[in-house]
Amino acid sequence: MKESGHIPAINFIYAIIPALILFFIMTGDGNATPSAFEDDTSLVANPFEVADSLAAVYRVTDPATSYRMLINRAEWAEMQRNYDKAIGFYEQAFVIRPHEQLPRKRIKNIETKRGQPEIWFLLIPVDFEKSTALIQILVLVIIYSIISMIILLVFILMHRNKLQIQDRQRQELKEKYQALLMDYLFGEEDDSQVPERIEKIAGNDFKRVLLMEEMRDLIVNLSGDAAEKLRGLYYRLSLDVDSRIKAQSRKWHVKIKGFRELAFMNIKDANNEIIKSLHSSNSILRMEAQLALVRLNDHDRFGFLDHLQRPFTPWEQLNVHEMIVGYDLEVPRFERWLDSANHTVVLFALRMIRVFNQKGSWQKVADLLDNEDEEIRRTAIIVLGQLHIKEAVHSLKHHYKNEIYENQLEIIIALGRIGEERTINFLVMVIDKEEDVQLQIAAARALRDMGESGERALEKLMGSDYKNYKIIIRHVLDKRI
Amino acid sequence: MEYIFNIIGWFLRNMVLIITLSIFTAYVLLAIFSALTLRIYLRKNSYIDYNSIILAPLTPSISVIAPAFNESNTIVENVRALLSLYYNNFDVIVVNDGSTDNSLEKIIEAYDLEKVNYFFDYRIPCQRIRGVYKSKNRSFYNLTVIDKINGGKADALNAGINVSHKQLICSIDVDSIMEPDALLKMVKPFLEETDKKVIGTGGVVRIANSCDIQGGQIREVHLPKKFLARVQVLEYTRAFLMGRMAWAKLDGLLLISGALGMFDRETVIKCGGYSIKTVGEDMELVVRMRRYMAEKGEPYEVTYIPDPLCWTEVPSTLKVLARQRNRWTRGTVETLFEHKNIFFRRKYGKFGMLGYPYWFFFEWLAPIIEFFALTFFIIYAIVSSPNWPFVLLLFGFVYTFAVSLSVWAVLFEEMTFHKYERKRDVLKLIGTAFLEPFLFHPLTVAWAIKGNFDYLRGKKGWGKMDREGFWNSTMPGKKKRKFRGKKKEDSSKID
Repeated sequence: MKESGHIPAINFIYAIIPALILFFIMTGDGNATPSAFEDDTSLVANPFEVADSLAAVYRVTDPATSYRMLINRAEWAEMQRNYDKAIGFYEQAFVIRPHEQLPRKRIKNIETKRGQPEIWFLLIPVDFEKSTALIQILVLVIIYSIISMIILLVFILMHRNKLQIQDRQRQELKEKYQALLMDYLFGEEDDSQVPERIEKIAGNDFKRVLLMEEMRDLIVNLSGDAAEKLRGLYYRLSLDVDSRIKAQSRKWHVKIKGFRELAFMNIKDANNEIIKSLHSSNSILRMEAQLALVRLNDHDRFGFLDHLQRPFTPWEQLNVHEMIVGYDLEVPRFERWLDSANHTVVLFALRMIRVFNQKGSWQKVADLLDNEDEEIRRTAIIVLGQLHIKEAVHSLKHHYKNEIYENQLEIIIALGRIGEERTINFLVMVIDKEEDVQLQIAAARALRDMGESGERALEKLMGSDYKNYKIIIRHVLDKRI
Repeated sequence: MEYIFNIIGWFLRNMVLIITLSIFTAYVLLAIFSALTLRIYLRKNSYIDYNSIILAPLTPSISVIAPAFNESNTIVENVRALLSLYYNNFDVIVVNDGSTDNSLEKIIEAYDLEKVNYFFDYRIPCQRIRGVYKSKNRSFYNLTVIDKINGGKADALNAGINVSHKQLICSIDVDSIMEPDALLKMVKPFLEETDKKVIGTGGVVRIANSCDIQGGQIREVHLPKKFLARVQVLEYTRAFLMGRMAWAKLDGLLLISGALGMFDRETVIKCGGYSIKTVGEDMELVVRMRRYMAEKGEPYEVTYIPDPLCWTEVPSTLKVLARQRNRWTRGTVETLFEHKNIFFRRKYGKFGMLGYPYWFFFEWLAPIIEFFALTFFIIYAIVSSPNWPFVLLLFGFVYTFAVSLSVWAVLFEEMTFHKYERKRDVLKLIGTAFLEPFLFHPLTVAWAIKGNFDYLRGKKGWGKMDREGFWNSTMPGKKKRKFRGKKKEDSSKID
């Protein structure tokens, strides 16, 4: 199988070439084509403004020029639908050069045109050809394109060098700072004094940023005295002021840096700045604010969930979960948020109940089987199944009939997981009565997962003459699938 | 008669120019919009740790579906590379689409496969399945191989979708090289879903010709040595970094490449799966899914990842490239005509008011206009005397504009992912940009015209695709070498 699909867009850019050419030749008339490059450009704009009478024409002694000027005027008049005037100009042109066929042909055209119904778009007076402005624009675009190409080329090559130098420099400095910080943290130096070398580094804006990054990376792996000593250094170098300024920045990406620094350095009194970003429309900023609060708010790490108005996306949920696990944070009882008005918070709470095996909350989870939101109901079914809540079997069976298809499927899977023998008849009935193959397969699989009694029920079905279940049952009994 | 000529004349004089200027403006706007979007994306991305997805229990499950037709030389290694993708909850479904070589035997042997008692539920139509295979070796528990009667790529993908039980499907070309973290990056938009349902995500496809490949991964990126492949690097860069990025943001993306796309499985099934009636099944599916969601009145999104996630070999001979472009044109026309009801219909939102019309005028119509205009110009130049100074000025204008657009595309690449690390490669790429308008572009127009002509003639099928093949460099025990293997044949559906 080959081919990666179309490569659309910007493929036919050069359609412009012939199209423009076509336009300009169409507006011309062979050798008589008036050209914007030729003289008398003042007449090109609007011949009537220049001279409304033929006097200006007759002042020109050269008959070829007079003829051309008259044709110009005639064309303009024709375009303006001033046919009488156009015919007048063509007739004058004919007088000057009687051997030319063009004026007579044009007069004939005008007479034909007059006898026909008008079409609105033909009346739009467009004549780009005579626009000196267009020529100027074209020349400008050419100049711009050439200059931009040269500048871009130089920029690209320089950028490459700059990147390489910067990367090398950053790497070297970071390694140096890491060694310095380690010496400070685990060396003999006095805690109360900031080593001169570190102080000097902090005096340079660029180096200060790198030092901060290094400290942030370092503190993740520190605890106890070493972490406190590093935090002390952070305060003494007034880096906390930098972090707070960043957290107050109007630029979201600077804010995030501030949040991260404050959170990693455990600056508890910075919560107010962070809370403001909880309702930001910028998803990444919102998430960083959530993560910072989880880190900083020891008393109620997940209290922010009470105030979430925007959807708590699976990506945000995943990161909060990652933080709980990664930093071994105390897990709250997530049933607290099962009543949240924000349905995404309810979904998160359900998922966390499942992940952290909070079986004690099963009753509140089961209550959600009556929730209006089908996704909440579905997730509740999954949670009940995965936590093997036997007490929920009756409720699940009860809800089956009135559920939507996707949730019916999940109920069957959940019943299979719970593995209560009293559901065997129900599952057999599903296989027997349902016409949807996926439901039948799920029910058969649920029976299989129940162990011996379920498998016996399947074998019984295999022998049944009523319907041919053999293919489905063979499928589910094949453990390789 | 003269009356009709007047109307045609008006169109040629004015409409053509208006369309031309629109194209000009559209490309500039798309480039600007794309640059802004890319900047935001990259900045946001710098705060994201994709590793958090790998072990998270909250991630959606994915089926990677790889249709294969006569891939016996490479299939074993291809599958190995797919099985080693970074993700915690995925399976690989290889669909042997009636290969006439020994692809199936090879994969059976390599992965210790055996036929299982699979009950096949044809939720979306596809050709008959001859068998489903699973491995006896538990290490390959997430590999499923389907053997079916030949029906083409779309049909094979449909078979894979029928077998999949995961939430998302990722359709790929089996011979493409996916970046190990491709699934992590592609799944992220689905995790970021809010009020709008994410129905599909596309990724950037890059060109692997001349790259060093080892163990199923790109070790060193080089610019293709052959001009024809190199010029396609420019095309791909313009299209993916300047075009699609902007269209995704504008909610007008109509195409997710068949080489790499991730979709919500249930939505695909509800839409009826891939269409086997068109040779542009990738574009057609996206258009149909969007249409389905819009008609149901459900808010949805089609997203796009600008990271280079997939590497593919592009045709390096004129003959093969001509077939490919011919097919692309037919696919475009078939899709546009099949869904003509979308055209300027407010009900479809930006997709109907912006995305579809753009494709109609600028992707389908533009080469046709160009062809006729050029033909007319040549005739005119022979029988009469055009205004040559003006003609030269126009040529200069369009040529410099086109080249500068390509140089901007190179800059986009440089400022974002700078995959071409050697300065020489960048210079070569810019040199190619100067030659492209003369040596390559006229051919693309000719191929597009031929494609339209073939569409009118009712031609179907993909045409035979010959590739050089780059997987030879990855075979175990073989010395690492550059991508210049022997010719191999490939065709998902012979004409």
